[in-house]
Amino acid sequence: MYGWGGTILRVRLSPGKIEKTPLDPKFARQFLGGRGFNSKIIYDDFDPTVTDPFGPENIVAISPGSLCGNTLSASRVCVSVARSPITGLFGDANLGSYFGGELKWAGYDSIFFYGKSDHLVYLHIEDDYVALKDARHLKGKTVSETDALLKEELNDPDARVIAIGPGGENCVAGAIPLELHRAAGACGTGAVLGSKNMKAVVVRGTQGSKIARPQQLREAFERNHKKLINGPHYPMFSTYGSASLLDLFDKGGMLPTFNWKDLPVEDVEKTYSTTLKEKYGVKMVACLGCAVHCEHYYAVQDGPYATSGAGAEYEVTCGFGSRAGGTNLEAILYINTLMNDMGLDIVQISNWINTVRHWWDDGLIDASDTDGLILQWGDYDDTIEAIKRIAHREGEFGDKLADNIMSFAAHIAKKKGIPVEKLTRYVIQIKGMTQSSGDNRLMGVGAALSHGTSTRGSDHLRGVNTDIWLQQERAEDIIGIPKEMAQRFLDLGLSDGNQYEGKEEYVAFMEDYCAITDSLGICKRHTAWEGMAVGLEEMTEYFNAVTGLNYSWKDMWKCGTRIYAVERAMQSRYGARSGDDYPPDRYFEEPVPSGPQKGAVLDRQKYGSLLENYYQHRKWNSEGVPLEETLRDLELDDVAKDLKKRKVL
Amino acid sequence: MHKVLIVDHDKCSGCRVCEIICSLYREDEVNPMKARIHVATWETEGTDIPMVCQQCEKAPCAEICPVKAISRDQDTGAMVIDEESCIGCRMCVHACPFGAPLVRPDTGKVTKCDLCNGDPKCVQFCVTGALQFLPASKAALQKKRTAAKKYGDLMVALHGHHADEESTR
Repeated sequence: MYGWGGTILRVRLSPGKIEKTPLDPKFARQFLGGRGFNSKIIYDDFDPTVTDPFGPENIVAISPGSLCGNTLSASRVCVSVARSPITGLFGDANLGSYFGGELKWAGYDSIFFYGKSDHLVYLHIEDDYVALKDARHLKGKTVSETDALLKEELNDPDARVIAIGPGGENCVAGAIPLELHRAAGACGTGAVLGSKNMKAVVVRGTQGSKIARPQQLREAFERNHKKLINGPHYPMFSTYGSASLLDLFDKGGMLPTFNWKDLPVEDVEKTYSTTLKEKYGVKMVACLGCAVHCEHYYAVQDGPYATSGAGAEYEVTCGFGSRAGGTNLEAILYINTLMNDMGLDIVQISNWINTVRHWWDDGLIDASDTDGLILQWGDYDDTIEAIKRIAHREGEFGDKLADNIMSFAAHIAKKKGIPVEKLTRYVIQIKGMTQSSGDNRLMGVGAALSHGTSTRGSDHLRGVNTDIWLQQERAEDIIGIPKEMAQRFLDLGLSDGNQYEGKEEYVAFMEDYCAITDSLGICKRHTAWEGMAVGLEEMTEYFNAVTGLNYSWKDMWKCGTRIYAVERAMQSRYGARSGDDYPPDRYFEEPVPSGPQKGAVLDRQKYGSLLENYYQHRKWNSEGVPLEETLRDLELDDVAKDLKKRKVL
Repeated sequence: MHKVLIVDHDKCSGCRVCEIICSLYREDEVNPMKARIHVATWETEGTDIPMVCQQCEKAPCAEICPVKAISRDQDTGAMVIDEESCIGCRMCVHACPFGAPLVRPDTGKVTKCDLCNGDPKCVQFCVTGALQFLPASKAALQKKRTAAKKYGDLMVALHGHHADEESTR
């Protein structure tokens, strides 16, 4: 088989057994790789009656996309869990990496972890050699310490390591695995690894990837590489990274501030990406095979926040900047390094702490609930302390908040004798997952629906991040989307971000599109998702050159639809229904108070109709469960049969 | 004058596109172990240094080769290995100050960067300019200028102005 490694690894942690299974070519063609492999195998292998995310029955999957280690623009690894400690549902997360290519070069497409080890272990892979090894000496080590220690003891500086930090070891719901600063953000997959006593995976691969049609791949590279770097958004992302979105959103009145109260933040320019680059930026760094190199390597030379590290994405400058009501960029960069080292999810933890600030501001919580920490807007020092306490579950506050903001709200409500809704209303979340730094009153109706229907909870990476990409007059100017589809969207009038009617088609298409990118391992920042040029047709071209198959972009699309349907069926099997697909009440009830977008708000009735249309367009039932014939059309007869057996259909 | 491949590691993003491209163009597969260029990385320090043959004028690899398998291509200026003659003794790897020659994992013979017959593909795909292919004299001048800029910046940091301003005042 060209392109794929050809082997799936199954690691049984109790009693410590490793199984190598040949990859079934038909399965590979249907589910592509990465997220597709994870979702379907977890669907098949997990007993959905088990509810505890930290029970030994939970499954963790780590799979690079099928183009990882084969093509440019493909570096992403998907980490999935059968039960997320944040949503209680199936969950997954992506990281840009070097790990993905290395695993492919070692000959593997996926690693699945089952059971629970009785002591801390790591998995060591070197081509054919695969072994579980004692990691007790790594207990409590940060992600970067773990990385350095493993490379040193294995005497291989070129090995690649995905590890959890103290956050994961302590089963903090917002804990994630990382390859140094490259984070698998969302869904708390690091906590599940921690519950299994899995500290790290180290991989070194020397076998490389065989390419079915090398000349076709070279030609595709030459063409698409030029398109990518000559695209309209390339200069911004390659020079200033995603942190540039802060400058852009602030100028456009779209920047979430003060936990989505959206009031002006004084001196917000101090957190602009231009400031970041000028004062603290050392250089831009990349993931494997990436021409966009969107991450800052930064250094704060001295002072209380002296630090260095990489990443510094918009999610940290907004999450611990404007959303926290603060502008101390040196402290934000310090927090970035700290979060990566603790192995915590910047989006989730920033939301948790900012919600506490918001409660504090409204007099619902005080220092007696936070073990004495003063968590007000714009605070940094107690915030840093709070992060450390969450990571180590230190004190009542650290321990309770580590369980997730929704359960922390329940704890406070009980303590204060107030209704829990009074507190949870402040949390900008869907299915329990708190939102990244976008405001769904302002990013377009498509983006709002896409966050709502996302199979892993509130998420800008699941489909549409903003409807702005459709704001073109000519179909050929909508980058990364086949012209036939782009024309259809324009004909439906979808270039109007505020239009509800017809958005279901765009959202469904982009959800499938993102399922494809996550399964191929292509970074979304190279695709139509971010207005960039490695689009569906270009990805399909890479896939065909690498594998020797002859997919059309419509064949590829069908794979995306299939993967999405499996995930939807999985969530339905757990009991998720249409009511779980709604944005938080605040988006319907609190208009944006000031600025150029003053008055913007979502309309509940229109959203409800749009959601119904979306289910119809998807050929799902009115509760959002895929219909039997829909599943059969996607060659998912086994899933249809299972849903019927469990009386979900 | 022949062009030379020059490396400005300060500009390297560590993306390893050069390794992917090198192996795909020269070996029809994607395998950094078969690439003639390798990026040495210290990620936590933000350091990425592409390592590749410098096509030395006085080349230790050619001097040490017991079967004289390494010689200069007069058209491109590159030192090239005749893999037919190569006996796989790896003396060139030991002699090279940069560790540039590559031992093929399959045959045990040695290969190295030959500048893709005068059109190095890694340079074509390097977006940051960390890899450039320039006439040797121009490359040297550019290197001087880069070094001078660092010196100049240091002077500004120390004295608030360029050193030459002081001497000409």
